[in-house]
This record gives sequence, structure tokens and C-alpha cells, in this order.
Amino acid sequence: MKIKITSLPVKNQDEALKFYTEILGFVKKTDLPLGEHKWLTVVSNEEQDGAELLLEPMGFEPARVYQKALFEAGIPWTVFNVEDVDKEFERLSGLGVNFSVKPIAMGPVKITVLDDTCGNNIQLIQLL
Amino acid sequence: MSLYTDHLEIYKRSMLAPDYVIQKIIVAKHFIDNNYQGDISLNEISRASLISKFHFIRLFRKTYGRTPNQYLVEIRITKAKLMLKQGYAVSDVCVAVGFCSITSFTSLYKKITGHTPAYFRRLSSIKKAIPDNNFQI
Repeated sequence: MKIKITSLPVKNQDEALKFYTEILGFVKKTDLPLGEHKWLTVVSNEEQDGAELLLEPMGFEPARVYQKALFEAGIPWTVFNVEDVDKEFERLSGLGVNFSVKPIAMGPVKITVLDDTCGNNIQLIQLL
Repeated sequence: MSLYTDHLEIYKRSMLAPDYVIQKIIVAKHFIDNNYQGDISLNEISRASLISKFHFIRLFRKTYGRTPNQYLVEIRITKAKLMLKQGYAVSDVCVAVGFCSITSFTSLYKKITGHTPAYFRRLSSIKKAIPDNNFQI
């Protein structure tokens, strides 16, 4: 058994694709029409054979409630690794991304938390 | 402030080791990052942190969630993967990332990545030759 895909609920798949590719720098991997929605995945540009992130349409009301509650509490839905949190913070701030947690050292890691504009907080983490 | 930032504060105050201890462990991790190619021992790594060996293992595990040896293997396999993707021979990669024997390198590589280094290298070269395919490595 292998972990190949992890999913992230998004309010709008097209807007999410735009944010995750044009702002964060991921690369589209799969785009498969499935009726009203699609099977849409992105991968890291630096590790294109790595795990895929499924940008999952929000089609289940309880999930919407859960996503909103997490967002309002500032809790990240998921975490991405970066080489340099400060650099990413500067780069993404320059692109208009909002951060709820500015870069802060937490023991052996440095973290920051951004708003992905799709309903989620995303934590970036750098191993010190 | 949010619930999450409150939790981060609590975590930082009550669950993390003191800063000066964490700094010593980070120094040891950097020692591994910079010397994984060589035959480095736990004694040398712990010496870099100025902490006694057994205390160091415990602290490293508490800080990074894995033992220094697990981390060393992890970094060696990550670097090996990069070199194999670039087309280096398995035997060269084995030596370059600090393994003494191809057998132990191959078996650890397979255990961690699911493929032997030779298979991964072959698949990477096919993928490079046919970039539009959808191989999962």
C-alpha cells in the first residue's frame, strides 16, 4: 500500500488550480472531467513523481462546515515542506498571499501559515 | 490571534526542549547534512552537539521524531535518489552517499523507496527519454 494522493477540499476547482499552479508553483498532473466536477491533481514542481494533491470539489455539506470551522480556528488543513520559509513568505507576500502566521521558529522547524483563497489554511514548514 | 496560534504558543512554552538544547540538536543535524557522504559515527555526531551520546539520541528523537541513524539513512537515500535520477551508476552512488556495501545500500534503498536502485535508475532514464509518459516512480 502506498500513499500517492492526498486530498484538499476547495470551493472552486478552477480558481484552486490557478492558485496552486500560478501562485504556489505546483504543476497540474491529472485533469479528468467527471460530470459537474473533475479529478484534478497537482504535484510539486521539484518532485513531479511525488505524491499528488487532489483539489477536491466541495460537494458535501458537512465537509463545508468542517472546512469553515478549521479555517476560522486558523488550523491548517495540510502542510507543505519548503527549503526556506522566509524566502517563500517574501515571495508569496509579494504575490498578494495573506498569512495568518508569520514565519516563526518552533523548535527544530520554522513555520508560516497562508490562506489558499480556496477555504483552507496551509502551513509551510522548513526543517532547521 | 486564533485557536491555532494559541496552541502554538502553548506547545512552544510547555512541550519543546529549551532553545539552547534545540540549537545543539540542530547543529548535530547540520553535521549529518554536511557529512552524510562519509563514514560518520554516532560518537562524532553527538560530539558535534556537545551532548553525551545516549542523552543525545534521546534528545534528537524528541526533537525530530526519529533517531539520528534513521535521519542519516533518510538523507543518504534522498541524495541517492537524486544521483540515480541524474544517471550515475549504482556503485558510484552507493559510495558517494556514504554506504560501505552495495548489498546494504540496495536493501535499505528498496525497503525505503519500494524499488531497487538499479530499477529506479532504469525507470528514470526511460522517463527522461519519453518525457510525456505517465510513469509513477
